[in-house]
Amino acid sequence: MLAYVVKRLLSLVPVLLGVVLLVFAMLWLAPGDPVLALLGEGAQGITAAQVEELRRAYGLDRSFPEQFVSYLADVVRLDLGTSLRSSQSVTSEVLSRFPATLALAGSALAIAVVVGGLFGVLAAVYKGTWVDSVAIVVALLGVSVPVFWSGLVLMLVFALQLGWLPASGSGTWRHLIMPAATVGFSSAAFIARVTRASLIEALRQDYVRTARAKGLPEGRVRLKHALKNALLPVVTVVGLQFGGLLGGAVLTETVFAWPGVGRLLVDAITSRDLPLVQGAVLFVAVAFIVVNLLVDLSYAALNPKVRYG
Amino acid sequence: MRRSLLLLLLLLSAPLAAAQTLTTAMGSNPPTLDPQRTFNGFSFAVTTQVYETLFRVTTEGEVEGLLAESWEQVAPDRLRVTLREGVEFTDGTPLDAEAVKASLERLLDPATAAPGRFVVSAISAVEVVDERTVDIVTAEPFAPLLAHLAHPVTAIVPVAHGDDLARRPVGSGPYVFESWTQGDSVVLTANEGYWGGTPAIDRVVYRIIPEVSTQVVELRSGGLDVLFNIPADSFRQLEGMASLETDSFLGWGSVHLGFNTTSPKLQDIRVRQAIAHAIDKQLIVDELLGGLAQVGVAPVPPTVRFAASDLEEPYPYDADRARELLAQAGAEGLTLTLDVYQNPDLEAVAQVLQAMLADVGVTVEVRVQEFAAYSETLQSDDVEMYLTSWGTVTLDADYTLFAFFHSSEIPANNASRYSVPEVDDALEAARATPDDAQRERLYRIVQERVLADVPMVTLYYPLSTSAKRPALQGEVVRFSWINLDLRGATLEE
Repeated sequence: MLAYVVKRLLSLVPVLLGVVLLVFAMLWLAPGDPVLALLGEGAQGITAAQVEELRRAYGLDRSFPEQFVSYLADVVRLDLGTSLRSSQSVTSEVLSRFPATLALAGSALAIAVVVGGLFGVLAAVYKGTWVDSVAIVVALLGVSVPVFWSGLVLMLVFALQLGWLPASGSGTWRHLIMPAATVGFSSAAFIARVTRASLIEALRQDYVRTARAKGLPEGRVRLKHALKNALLPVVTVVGLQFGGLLGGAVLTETVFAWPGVGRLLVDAITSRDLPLVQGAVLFVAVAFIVVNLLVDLSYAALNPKVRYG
Repeated sequence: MRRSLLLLLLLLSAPLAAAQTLTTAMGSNPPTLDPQRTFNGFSFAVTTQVYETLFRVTTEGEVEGLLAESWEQVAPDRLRVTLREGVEFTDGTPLDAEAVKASLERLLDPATAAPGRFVVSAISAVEVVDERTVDIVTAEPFAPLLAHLAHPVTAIVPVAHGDDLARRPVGSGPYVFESWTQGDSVVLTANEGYWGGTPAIDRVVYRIIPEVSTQVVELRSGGLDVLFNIPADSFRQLEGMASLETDSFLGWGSVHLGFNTTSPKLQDIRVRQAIAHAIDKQLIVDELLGGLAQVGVAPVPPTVRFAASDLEEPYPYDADRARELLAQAGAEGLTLTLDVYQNPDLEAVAQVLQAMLADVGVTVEVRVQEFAAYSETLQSDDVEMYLTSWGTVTLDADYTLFAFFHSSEIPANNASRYSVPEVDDALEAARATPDDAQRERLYRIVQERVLADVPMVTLYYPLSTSAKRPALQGEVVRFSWINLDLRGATLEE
């Protein structure tokens, strides 16, 4: 088991190297000069020579290999560099946003697992009945309704009409409810569908028939025998969703003014803040890989047949 | 025991009763709160409360002293500034001549990598005369210097704080930095020792809310006291609400359709005149912008000093005349690209222009790019027509006219590649003379000539918008929300 974990962690190195190279190359190839982006719409009046001077000051006049190698050398020393637009360390910029992202991802996932799991189980158990149809339609809606719309509707109802919750921002648990519900329901829909399919599949298995033949109570058959075995793909999906959420739920963060990593990344991309984009992507990539590793390790707990070597 | 309890109660209730907190919103997290290390409007919105410049431009467009008490042009290239007496930064250090010198030198130092250094690039030296007097020397006589020293990037900062200013700003302004939650909010409190008197509103909260619809919901539900830069559709919606006061006003902005005058397709002035005739500016203002703009003629809006706002439109909307001119120029079936950057208003204007030009037989291909990519395109010879949104942020015509039309600015700002020796001469002469009447005359020559030559068409001057709860009174917005002056404002419930 330990050997497996070490092996998986070591495999991080080429993956992250690939991520760094890919992002670096993409930003390099993307049209748009970082200095001009940094100056923005308001910086008219600057001359070409002055732009060139700034480019030198930021070290952007060097060649691609030169910049890449020097960046890589810093990353190896765990120095993610300095943001061009804020002149702050990239690590501190990303870390300052991570708690908000973690809170949103965690609470959204909790909602998604509870709601999605419940809907999925109900739909599977009452397959073919109206319960199933309702659950499927709700799940379909959850997947298809864009969050910037559902988020705004929630806001109009709960903040403007009823005045129960603050419309946007962060700071208290009350601020978290609407964004978490918005993200949670769209993830829930996905989890519900996977749970349903997987549980229906499991309920058809021989061991379920055996359990029923032995005269076990139906509830015990469904929950203990079928559901536990049906959880494997569900856990995978949950893990992937969580990993994705750690990268920031950009739209929800934007609608609810939630100060997460997603918005930081989008701001960094539009202002061509290369070190910040690099650092944020790297951070998100590591988070994603770690979550997936944890998911893989959890398989053993669910299915004793899974062995790591 | 009872007395101390009473005292405690008094202590607790007194500040609560008097506390006035103003909450407003901005669309993005300010990258930094060091005014010298940014050129970002969201940064400036906060830094103008915390720091102060030597001068500022009044709502009437005149330059007045802020940290400067008096000033005198002792030589054509030397401005002598006497500082207000006894002003301190909020860390207690004096804001004296040495501090001004150190601050301006930090801005000028290439090592600072200040994006806004170009605003003060005319300055060659800053010399301390005595404790309260400082000489600002320019390499050449530079008449708009005062206006440039009113720009937020020239704010006087205590240099000893160095890089810390980015996250913990310290200035001499009416508000003191309290806290900044990244991506969420910036909080300021009133400067008790402010030389102009402690402001009545004792806390200002800038909430970072990227989505306009969310900002509007927050304003309507009481989460915000005032909101700026509201798009037309939301603004019209807010206008009808009894619980809110709305305002729209002319700022320093202008929107232009530029022509690359060296492009073979646009070299012929008749083609440019034809395009100018084909554009119905009034229709754009009324229908597309919901009336939240003023039709433009001169390259700078009337709020700017030396704007020739009385000049007549030389090419009024006339589609027949446009077709005629195109025929004369032998430019029937013309195809042109129009460069524009991602911005809902500008993209919509581009589409309308496309339709208007199609009506006179010109095919326009609109090329929308991100701002950074668009800026790069404008510098390349690939450009034919472009839309640009500009701000005369110093409120002195020089800022725009020199950048747009002086040949030394090709291609950076003068993307029209407009080069006329008489215009160059007039622009240089206007910089060299401190005489306002003389400058007025010279800038008029430039604006008349430019209207005749059509290197660009000034489409409109957008209006700035604001909506607030009526409880907020006495605030002054000088042309842009980044110059929100709360010193005389109150927020009575």
